[in-house]
Amino acid sequence: MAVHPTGRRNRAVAVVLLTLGALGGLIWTAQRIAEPASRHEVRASLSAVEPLTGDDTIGYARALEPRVFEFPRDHGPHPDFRTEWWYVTGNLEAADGREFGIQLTFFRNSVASSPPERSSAWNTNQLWMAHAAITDVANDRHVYGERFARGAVGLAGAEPAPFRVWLGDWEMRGPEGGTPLQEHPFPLELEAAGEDWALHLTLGEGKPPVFHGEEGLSRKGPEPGNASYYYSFTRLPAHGRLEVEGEPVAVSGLGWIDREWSTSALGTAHTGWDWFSLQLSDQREIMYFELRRRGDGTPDPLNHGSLVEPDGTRRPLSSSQVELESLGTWESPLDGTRYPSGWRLGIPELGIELQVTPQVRDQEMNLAFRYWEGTVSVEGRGVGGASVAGRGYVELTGYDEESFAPPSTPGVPASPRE
Amino acid sequence: MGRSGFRHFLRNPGQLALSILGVTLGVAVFVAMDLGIQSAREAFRVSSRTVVGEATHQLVGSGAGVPDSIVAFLRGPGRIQAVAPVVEGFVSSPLLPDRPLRVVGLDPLSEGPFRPFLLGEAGGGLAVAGLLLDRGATLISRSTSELAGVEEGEFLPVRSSWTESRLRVVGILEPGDEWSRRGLRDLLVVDVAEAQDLLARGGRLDRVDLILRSDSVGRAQLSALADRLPPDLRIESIGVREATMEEMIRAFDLNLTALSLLALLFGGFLIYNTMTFSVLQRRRTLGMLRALGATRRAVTLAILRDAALLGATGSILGLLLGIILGRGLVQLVTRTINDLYFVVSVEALSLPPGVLLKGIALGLGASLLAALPSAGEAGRVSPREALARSSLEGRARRLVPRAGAGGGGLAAVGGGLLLFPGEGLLLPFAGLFCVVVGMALFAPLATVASMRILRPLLMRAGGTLGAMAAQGVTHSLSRTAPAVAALVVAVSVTVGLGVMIGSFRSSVVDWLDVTLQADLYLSSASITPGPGQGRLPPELTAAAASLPGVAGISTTRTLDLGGEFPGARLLAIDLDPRGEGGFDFVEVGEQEIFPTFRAGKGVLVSEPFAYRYRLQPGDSLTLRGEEGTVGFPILAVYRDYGTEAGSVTLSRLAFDAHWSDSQVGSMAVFLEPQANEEEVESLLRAAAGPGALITIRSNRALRELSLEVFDRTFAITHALRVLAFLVAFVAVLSALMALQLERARELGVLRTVGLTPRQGWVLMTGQCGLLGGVAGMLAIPVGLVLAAIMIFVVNRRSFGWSVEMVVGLEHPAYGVLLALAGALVAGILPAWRSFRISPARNLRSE
Repeated sequence: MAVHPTGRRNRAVAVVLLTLGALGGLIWTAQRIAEPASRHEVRASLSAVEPLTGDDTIGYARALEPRVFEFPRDHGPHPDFRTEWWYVTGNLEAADGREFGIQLTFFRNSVASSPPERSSAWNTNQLWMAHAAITDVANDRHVYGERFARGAVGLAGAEPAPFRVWLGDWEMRGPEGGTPLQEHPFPLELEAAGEDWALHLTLGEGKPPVFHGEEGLSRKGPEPGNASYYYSFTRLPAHGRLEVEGEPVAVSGLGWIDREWSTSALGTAHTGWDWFSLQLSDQREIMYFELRRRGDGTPDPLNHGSLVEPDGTRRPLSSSQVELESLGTWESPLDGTRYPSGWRLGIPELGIELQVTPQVRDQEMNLAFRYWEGTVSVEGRGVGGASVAGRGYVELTGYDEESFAPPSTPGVPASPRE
Repeated sequence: MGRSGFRHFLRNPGQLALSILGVTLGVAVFVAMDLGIQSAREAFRVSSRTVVGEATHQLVGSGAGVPDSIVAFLRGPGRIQAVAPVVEGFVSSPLLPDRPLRVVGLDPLSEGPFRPFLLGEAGGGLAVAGLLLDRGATLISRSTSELAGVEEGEFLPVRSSWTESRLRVVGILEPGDEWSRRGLRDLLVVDVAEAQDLLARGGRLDRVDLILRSDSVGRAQLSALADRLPPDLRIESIGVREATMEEMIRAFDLNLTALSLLALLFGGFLIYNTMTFSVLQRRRTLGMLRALGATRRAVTLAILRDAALLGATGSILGLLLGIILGRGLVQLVTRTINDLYFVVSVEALSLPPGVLLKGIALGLGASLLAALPSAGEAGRVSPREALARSSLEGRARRLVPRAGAGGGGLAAVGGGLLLFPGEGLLLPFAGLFCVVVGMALFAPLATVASMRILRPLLMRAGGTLGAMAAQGVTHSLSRTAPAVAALVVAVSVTVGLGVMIGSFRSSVVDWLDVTLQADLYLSSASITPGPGQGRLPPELTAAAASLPGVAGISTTRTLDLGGEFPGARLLAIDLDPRGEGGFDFVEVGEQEIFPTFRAGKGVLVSEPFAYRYRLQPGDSLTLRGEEGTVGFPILAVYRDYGTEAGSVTLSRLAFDAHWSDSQVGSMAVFLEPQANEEEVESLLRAAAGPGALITIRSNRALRELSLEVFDRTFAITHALRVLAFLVAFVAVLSALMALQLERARELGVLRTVGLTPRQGWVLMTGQCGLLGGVAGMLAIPVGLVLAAIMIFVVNRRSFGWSVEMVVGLEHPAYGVLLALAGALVAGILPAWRSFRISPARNLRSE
């Protein structure tokens, strides 16, 4: 009986330890395998896929020479071209004088010159992206969102008459069609909403369309075809309702529509552009864009614009006529990317000398495609040196170097504007 | 004292090995079964969750899925933005034989909030474009790529039920953890358009995943949406959906669990045997220890400690063995689930800690529990008593009637439980166990009784030796009774399961005879069983009836009924009059069946369906058509072993009136009497058009296939039968071994008084034979009762099938033979050992 208590205990301890050890090991293994569903990490390695937008323009239509615009047809999509957009910006005011800026844009992208050979209704080469933003100037707030969809099974698309561009519940919609077909889709209803914001606006008929460049052919590079078709409605009466953080505000003001389509990507010589659309109190509007050249960032001589007279006639602006100077910079809190902020825009031969100031400094659109787009106030001297004020929108792209690498997200055109 | 325990086992390594083996096997069988079931469940859960992703709800249709247009509707003004269409199905690849590959068709642009891991992080834009733009583009997981030997940029040939094609691997999914790795296994991620083409689902989605907020906004959205949806569509929360799927395998699960509990019972029995014998064998030693002054408590504790050590060792070995066995079992479980329910592929055994803990608890608990009576007894007996063997046997004999009475009582309680009406399976299983255990407890009494009867007979036949054999059984009841009981349980389970499967099979054969009336059966070459997968080319269905040699055709479109009838199928049949005899009606209503059925004024339901939803002819059944609910009177109930979830058969006319699905999934062809089957077959193939993948089976081939599936379904039951027997065999072996070791001295005496080795053999094998024979005879009624319970109560309640009980001679005969053979084999080794030793040594052991 209990001759060697120690030995016995050791043996018992050993068995217990062995049991516990084996159990622990098994349970540990089991738990490792039966990891809960909370985190799944899957990395996709993808290399065999061709980038969305290469230099390959084969199979696409090109903007080679001025075209005869035909409406309402040309308000609809041009799927033969790689990229196209319907771009609305506006500056609005509430009854109490609070100011708001809005942007609603639909981008269409033909990601291949033709759809793959499939019979499914989901099959398409058309990808859509939409961006929307509201700037609440008084509260220094800028809210925005984006949507993606393929251009199939009614998820997104555009139709010329009755006019409609939509992506999910975001929409630009003209009046129901009658005969004869209405040339331009006014009054145009705009609808977009995000988690805590919404915009419902109506754009009425205003000035007729303005065709930029050579009768609507806007050259972006020296090579033929490196151009877009580009027209704008530069002054449209707008009214409606905005909601920011659930609070509805009735607003009215002015809207601007840009329509542009093209195939060629921005030349590799450019890093981005600065684009201005200004609506002045003397009933004139100015559109001017500046492509920045890689390297020194100097403006390209191809830069051009339009001055729209009160009666709607267009006066072309070339780079030699326009002086554009950045007066300051703004640093994105996200990563320190620096954007110019505040400009002097002068057209000496017309006596124009304008100071352009962002109404809110941070109007960066940090989306799949990153850029700065925001409402600006304008002050200075107009045609003939008369004192003018105004509002406008400015777009700045390519300051975030990464976004000029091949785009990382579907439906994103090489750049929102070429 | 501890040493004495160890020394005892060390002196009898065989005994030690058997004891541990007993615990090991008991635990192993239980753990293996449990792991098999759990792994299959887990694999199903993992793969379904990987594909479900972050969705909170799913929009599903009844029948042929969801129309494409619903996605735009859902995303329309003020509705939901997190909306992702899903098309799912299966294909196979010659590079990965025997593995259904799950095709998941997604709209990459909708995927962001749902399954970012499938399409990569923000940089996955390239995958999106690739999937969208390259016809045949697919993403596969690293493991699939390695198994198939297909690298990025290379082609993976696949075969769907509809077509053969090549998919180009445009990206490899690299799972970052084990969980994702398992979920992504055998998964092909393609564009939704690709999936629709590949799986021939033009215009239809399988479901639409949604993310709805869980707050009042989400609930308001949900209820607003529910009001505006077309009537055949509904939104289910993911939890409900998973529960539905699990509900489908519940009955199957429960049956397996019951079987594993049976294994547990054997395990417990075995452990009990082991411990009892080890105590019995040590009685003398223990008695001596007591005589030397050891307290009762010390003796009791020493025995319990030995039991714990044995139990722990056996349990750990049992867990390991169980995991190994589980690997085999999980394949069987998976196959059955694939055949009967849905496709799930189990790569690895999952080892839920719960199962392992249960196994350990079982091993340790049963060991201690089994040792408890012996330990108590060892402590209680006076030292003098312990040294005398007779007192023990005397007690054992006194216990026999009590055990018999207890057993009878338990069996009666079990019978009562079985009679208790209700749907659950818990009561029937509890009843089943009571009956089996009760009858096992009754076994010793029956043994004693039969020995009393047999003794004079044996005396006449084998002289003194025969009488001695019978006497020996009765005289060492403390050893023989548990052995007989164990053997009875094992053999009765073998007999019972055999009769049950045999009856089931013969019912299925009868049913196939009635049902398979046509000469040729056409279906799309299906990758997986189950409805909704394939369709026949429309050209074929249009042309088939007018082909030379074809007398008539019946076509069927099978859909998932879903909704309030989870798992049930809807069969839309365009019935040829020749096919009318194919229904084996178990209940008919008052109306004339076929004219009413053809006119679309009534439906036929299968037996399980009628059972499950408590329907009978004359009742009305409400189905969700595309434009709203439709009520149909039930005309009759037909026998159908095809699906346990049940099916509803509807005439094509009625189907077309309420569903806009024009497809045909399968076709039965009746030939002209003189027609040549092969000629017609080639005509049918030609009519299907080149490249169409259709399967044509003759009546006989389909019949064979059906039986093959049936046999496969029961493979796991067979496996368990073998395991159960194995466990019982070890129990018997250990019992007889202990018995023979005990009797070494007796044999020694007999040999010194002139027993020849040959006579000794006769005596020992005679004794074993008697034990086996008695156990076998007892096992027959127990087995039949068990079979009857399985057929009439368990099967009926879990599946709703009526099965005719067929008792051939083979199962009882097999049972008796098994018991005899088992007992004899188990007796040979100990007998051989006894005779190898000289009589003198046998005596010396005194």
